[in-house]
Amino acid sequence: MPLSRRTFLKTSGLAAGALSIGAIEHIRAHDLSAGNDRAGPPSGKPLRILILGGTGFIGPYQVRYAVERGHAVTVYNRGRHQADLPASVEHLSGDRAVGDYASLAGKTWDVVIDNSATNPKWVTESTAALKNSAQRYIYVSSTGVFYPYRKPPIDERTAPVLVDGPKGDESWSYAVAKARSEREAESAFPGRALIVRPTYIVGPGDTSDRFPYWPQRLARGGELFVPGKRDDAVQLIDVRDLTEWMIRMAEAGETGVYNAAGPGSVLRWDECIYGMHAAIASDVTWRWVEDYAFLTKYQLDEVVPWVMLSGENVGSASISSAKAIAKGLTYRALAVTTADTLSWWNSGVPATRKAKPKFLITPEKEVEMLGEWRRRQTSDVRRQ
Amino acid sequence: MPTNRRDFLKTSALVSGAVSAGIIPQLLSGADAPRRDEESSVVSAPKPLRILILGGTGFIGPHEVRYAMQRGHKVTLFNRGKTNPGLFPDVEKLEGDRAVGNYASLKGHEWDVVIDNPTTIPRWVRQAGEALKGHVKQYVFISTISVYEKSDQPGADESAAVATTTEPESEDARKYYGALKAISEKEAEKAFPGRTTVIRPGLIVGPGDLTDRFTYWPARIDKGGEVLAPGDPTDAVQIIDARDLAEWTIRACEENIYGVYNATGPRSPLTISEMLGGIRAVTTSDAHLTWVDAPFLEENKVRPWSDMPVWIPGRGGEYAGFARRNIDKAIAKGLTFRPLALTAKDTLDFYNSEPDDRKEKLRAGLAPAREKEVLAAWHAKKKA
Repeated sequence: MPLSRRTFLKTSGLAAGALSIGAIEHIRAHDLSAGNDRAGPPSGKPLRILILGGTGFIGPYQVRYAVERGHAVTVYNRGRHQADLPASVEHLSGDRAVGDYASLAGKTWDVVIDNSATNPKWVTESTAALKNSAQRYIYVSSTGVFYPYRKPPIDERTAPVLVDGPKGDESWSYAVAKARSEREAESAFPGRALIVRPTYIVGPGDTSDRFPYWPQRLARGGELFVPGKRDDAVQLIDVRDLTEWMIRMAEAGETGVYNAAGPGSVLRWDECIYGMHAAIASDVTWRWVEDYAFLTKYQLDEVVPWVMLSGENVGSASISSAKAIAKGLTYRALAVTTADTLSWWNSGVPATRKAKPKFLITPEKEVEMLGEWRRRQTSDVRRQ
Repeated sequence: MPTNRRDFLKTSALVSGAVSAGIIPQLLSGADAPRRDEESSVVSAPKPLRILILGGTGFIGPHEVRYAMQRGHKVTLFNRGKTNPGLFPDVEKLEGDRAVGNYASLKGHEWDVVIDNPTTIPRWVRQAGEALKGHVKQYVFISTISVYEKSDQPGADESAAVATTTEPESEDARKYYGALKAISEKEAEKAFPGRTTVIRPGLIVGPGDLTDRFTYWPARIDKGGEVLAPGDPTDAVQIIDARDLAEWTIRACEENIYGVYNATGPRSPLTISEMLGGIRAVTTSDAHLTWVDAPFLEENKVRPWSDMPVWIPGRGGEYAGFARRNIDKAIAKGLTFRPLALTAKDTLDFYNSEPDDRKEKLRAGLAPAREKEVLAAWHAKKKA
């Protein structure tokens, strides 16, 4: 048996074209390039694009895609984060926290993309510095402006709540800060501002450990704690879908307000996690814990992309992006997002980060919850 | 970090490049051109075998042939020369007709192993056994999971009773499918006692499938819109990718694995919602699933298996074990499973490569108009 087992492992690993042997066989993205509609080449003239930020999660994707499409890109930031950007990119230094935009003086751009502001004051100052030297201003907001998400479905006609909420409700203060930032952009660039509101941005290069939790956890296999109801809706957007669409919107000279959540039709949480798992050949025993009270006890009101759909969050995964879809927003297949994220997590993330991931569900906590759940009841485990 | 990150970015750029260049391996249409990554990664078997394949030009046969050749074996095909005669120009072919017991062309040849794919009729196996006795060391008979008399026990293994018939000489494969397959198994064992491998596959799926059963789902979900999903999301399903089956069959030859084996999958129990969620994950359509319960489907004459392929509502009834066959024995002997996403994606690519008239008339699944009708009735009922 040992011999034939070794032979089998060798054979099967190779036969499946897998990256590794054993449980963690996942698919390479090019196996799954399911119909990603790629845009044609840009039709207009090359743009001069200024990106505020540009070295975080979404910035480098914007930069590379823009350069690929022939645009001239400048990034403006503190110069603290390393990012692998094309050599042609111009770098300007400045610190928005102290309103230092001196390095922008005397230059002009067709489009500014503001990735890095959550503070309305930053936008007031950056737009003041740029309103006479840039044609258009793209502000990356968030579907978070709709908090409290009380009445689904939510589209661009739904007005964000601009008044301060209860003290200590961070989602509320975030919503107000983002919504006020949008206003600042619009008032400085009337009719020339594009506001993009993404939901949870996911994919390789994620600077948070929120979504990466799932691919790496699914790859590990075994008894898997899934918080949430099977039919809870979830929304997310692949960083590449978001950024590529934004650059195309810039090319088209589009303005206005757009939600950018994915996918384009209702996705249930069970379909979502099963879809992610389909790209990873691990053995999983699902432990669905649909009891919100139990989850609340363990402070699990969200494990992105899943969010507990109760209270102020009822409509948080019912954001319509029909307007953006009509303007060319497309979505990669979930299996591609998952496979790419796992591949990046496995080979592109420093060991130091992986040694102390900021997962809401640690292995210890998972074991504890599984034990407690088993004691509590067993009726909700997958019925076979 | 910079190095890793650069590498990762480079990789993903290449991947995107491959996607936009449309480099998607086309299976089946190029029967002599298996996926490039598999071709390059399959290593030769320690010892080349001489393999005789009876049939070899249908659904699973070509997958066996390709894999056997990649593993360095010498393959001979024996068939009427009528189905896909040009499929393998470089493979030795012997002509004969099992319907009339004509095996003359096999005379004077020796093989290590014979794989008998296309047979339901015991006489065919008896005659093949007579013709090959003394000239072949191992007889692999591809039987079916349908040999079992009953399907009511989840987890039933190979020791479960097989179907019988009072007309064992009947050649009515439609009427006595399971029983005749069971008798055929015994004929093989009679001719090659202790050197027979009986493989009992479940529903075989993947590129090349002409029954359209599994294929219906990727095709349907890729088309988009509201998709009727059958029964309870936790209903059990079992399938096996034709390539997993074919590759394991060849490895069973290499390792002289004898005995009777259920061969379906995947390794850990699959449900209909996992299957559909996994399929959805490889598409980029605007599909969304509406789950309609089994009693309503029955009322509306939507038939399990044929109208809603792969799915049988089994809980507690005579089909309770239909999609929960025990496959531990085959797994212990090296049966492996591709990730569902790969099966789904390759099947979708295969479907898309079919001629339009074929695509419009699937051989399984609900017709579009009927699906619409049933969904409308379901929504009306829910409203009432």
